[in-house]
Amino acid sequence: MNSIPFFNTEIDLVSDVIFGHVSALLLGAAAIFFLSYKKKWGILWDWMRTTDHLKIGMMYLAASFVFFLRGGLDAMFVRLQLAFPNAEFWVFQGEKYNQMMTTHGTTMIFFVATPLLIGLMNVAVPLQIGARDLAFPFLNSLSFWLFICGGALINISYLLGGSPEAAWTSYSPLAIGGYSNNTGNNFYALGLQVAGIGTIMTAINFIVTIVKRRAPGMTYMRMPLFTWGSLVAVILILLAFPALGAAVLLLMFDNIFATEFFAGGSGNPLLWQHLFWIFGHPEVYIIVLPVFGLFSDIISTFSKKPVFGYLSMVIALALITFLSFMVWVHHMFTVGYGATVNAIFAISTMLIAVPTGIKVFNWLFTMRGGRIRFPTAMLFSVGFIPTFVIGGVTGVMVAMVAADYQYHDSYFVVGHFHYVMVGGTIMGAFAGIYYWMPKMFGFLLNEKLGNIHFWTFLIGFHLTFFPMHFMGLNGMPRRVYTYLPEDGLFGLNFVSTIGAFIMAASVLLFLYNIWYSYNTQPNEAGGDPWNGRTLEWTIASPAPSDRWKRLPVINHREPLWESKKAGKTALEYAEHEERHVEEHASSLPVIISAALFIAAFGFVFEVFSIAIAGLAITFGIMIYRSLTFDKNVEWSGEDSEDGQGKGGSIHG
Amino acid sequence: MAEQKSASQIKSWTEPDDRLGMWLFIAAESVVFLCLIATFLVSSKSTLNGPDAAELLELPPILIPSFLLLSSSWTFHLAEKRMEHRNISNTMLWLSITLSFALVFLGFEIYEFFEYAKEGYTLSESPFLASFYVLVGTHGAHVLFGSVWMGLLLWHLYTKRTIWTNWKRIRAFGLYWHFVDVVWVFIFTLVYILGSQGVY
Repeated sequence: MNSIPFFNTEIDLVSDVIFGHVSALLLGAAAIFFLSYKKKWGILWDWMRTTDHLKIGMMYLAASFVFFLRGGLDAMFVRLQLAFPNAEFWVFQGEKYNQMMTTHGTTMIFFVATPLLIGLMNVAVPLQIGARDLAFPFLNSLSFWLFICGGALINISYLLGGSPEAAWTSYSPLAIGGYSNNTGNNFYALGLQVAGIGTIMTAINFIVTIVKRRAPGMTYMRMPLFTWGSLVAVILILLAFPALGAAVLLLMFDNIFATEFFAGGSGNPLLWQHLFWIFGHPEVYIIVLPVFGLFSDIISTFSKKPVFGYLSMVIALALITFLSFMVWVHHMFTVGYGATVNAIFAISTMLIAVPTGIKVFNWLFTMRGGRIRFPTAMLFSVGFIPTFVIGGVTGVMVAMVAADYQYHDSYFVVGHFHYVMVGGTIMGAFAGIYYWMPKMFGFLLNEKLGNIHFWTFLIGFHLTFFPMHFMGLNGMPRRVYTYLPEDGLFGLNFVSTIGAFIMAASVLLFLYNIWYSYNTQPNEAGGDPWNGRTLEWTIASPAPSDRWKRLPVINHREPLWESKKAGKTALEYAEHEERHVEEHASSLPVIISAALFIAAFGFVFEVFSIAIAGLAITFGIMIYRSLTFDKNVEWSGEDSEDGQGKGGSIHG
Repeated sequence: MAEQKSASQIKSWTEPDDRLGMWLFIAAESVVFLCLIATFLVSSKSTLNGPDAAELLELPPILIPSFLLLSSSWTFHLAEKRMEHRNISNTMLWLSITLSFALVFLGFEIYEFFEYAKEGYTLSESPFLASFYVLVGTHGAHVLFGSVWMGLLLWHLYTKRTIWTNWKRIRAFGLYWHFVDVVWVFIFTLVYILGSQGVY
């Protein structure tokens, strides 16, 4: 086999890797040509330096959609390889198959689901609570660029010596000691470390924003449910992601510095599983709780009714948050901790079905007796409910320990979590994008194409994932690249592959819809295209850059709806714009992230001079930022008479 | 403007957003240290051919740096109090003392690590040694980071930036520094005291 040496590894010159390099080069060249031809470099630079939450939110959505296409492509390779018994699709057997399914899982969880929701939070949360921006705009930009760098690290791994291939859970000892591609495992550890730091900073940012930056009168019990879902999700991020950070730090030590934390003989492979799932199970709720809130908002808007049982919705969110830290061992039932441990974690897992059930019934009761409309956002919300219930019920099934010994590591589990994650997070993200599109761009997406998009996605989704339950029950294991004709799995797998193609077509149709709507839809959706109820619909679409010059005064849970009922045209606003700090756009987040990218690159290939240089630049820029901080902020607004206005004047 | 406000008001200038952000950062850091402490406890018996905790660790040499590090929380508190009274030169004095305590602590730790390495007790020798180095080293990295931060604070105070930015810097750093000390209390107890007494 031909290969060229690259640091401590080799790049194999085989068709798929060459294809990857060529397509990366062509896409890069096309992007450079487009930017130069259309003279867009200046705009790109402005966007890269922006600290505006709306722009960062849009970049999050765009970037995670790019990763979504990458992860989707991996999924298509997987489905093609599994379409027929004993199939040999291109190169995707054995290690290459493992690389595909690992990259698919890692990308979809860390670089699609999580940032899609962070993108929606960035777009909507400050508008929903009447905050001018996040509490730390600079940090927000840095979080975004760290996410990009982490995603880039995972994605270039295929081109530079091989992707991680120990699955997205990266269990040891498979992931250490040369049992799988070491470069890939390093990419996994470093990519997640860099992106994880960014995600933790996002969590800090959102908690401070929601706690400290709500408009006057916006009490906790008046916050829209999307904001509530986001708040509990970022609390989970804050407490769960550091465990992942510690886990991948130890993984990095095992692979680069020859320690044996997780090694089979001397170390403790189960330690990895605990650390990973103490992060990993809350992660599931991190990517579904904001969506729960979002669906509550959408269903209420399009049923023309307030959310049924608002308080119980909030309590249910809090309960799920609390319980989610007490269930991680249900991923490890087959380890053999014995009946007592397994029973405790089985019960705590099943308990989560209670608050989730409360939410499902509240959604149904919100619709009951309402004047329901079905634009695409509502279709996705209504389609989500039965889909998620199926995922929830199979979840309770796998929570039963005795039965789980059968389900464990089979396609049943694959079917289960795709129902929850695709049926929850991805459908939620689509709903959110349809819903808030006017707030971002000022136009609505085409509803006809949206309808086709929804139905093809829903049908494709169920065709793809429903048969997986039966594959699992018929004995098909996860993460194995083929099966035999006599296994009787061909029909189910073939249907699943057809479904995957329908979903892929549906996603492409969605992209076409954005392009089509951009060209044809009038740019005059208006501030309130959906007859909305919450604060974000009181400002113009797209949201102007100096939104909330004077903060709104909130005296009701649905301020816009109340003012509509009272026949008023506008909300009340604070008497003057109180003093607050505004920070200039900054290129430092991009530079810091690039430096950390260099450092991570050095660690991956174990070239420590590069790694240390990258870290030195990172800390150097942080010092530079501290030294220039005073020049980079500006005062806005006026002092209130007593010099002690709410929140603002204490800055100085 | 800020500079004209009376000294009694300086407390109200505390940037509440920064403080809350710092508290949350500490929550995240606590999880990291909890995971590393758990790793240490889990790995403490996997000594392979290397030394175990009782063989490796001795209490007396760690007492001085521990005393200095814990004292530095107090000296920093004094610096903060001086700052409250706008006594910048005394603030700088106490901050310098805090910094020197931190540097001495770091010196002891680096010396300790070198001594162990000289005896061949390196990172890859056993999971116990690895978990010891990673836990104590991560804390040491935090002390180093805090020391650089203190150097930066001294520079800010020396160049007389606006008082409100310096004040919020000091307040944010204070939370971090006290946290680093609290972590040392746990490491000192769990690793050094229990370890040297042969509990593991």
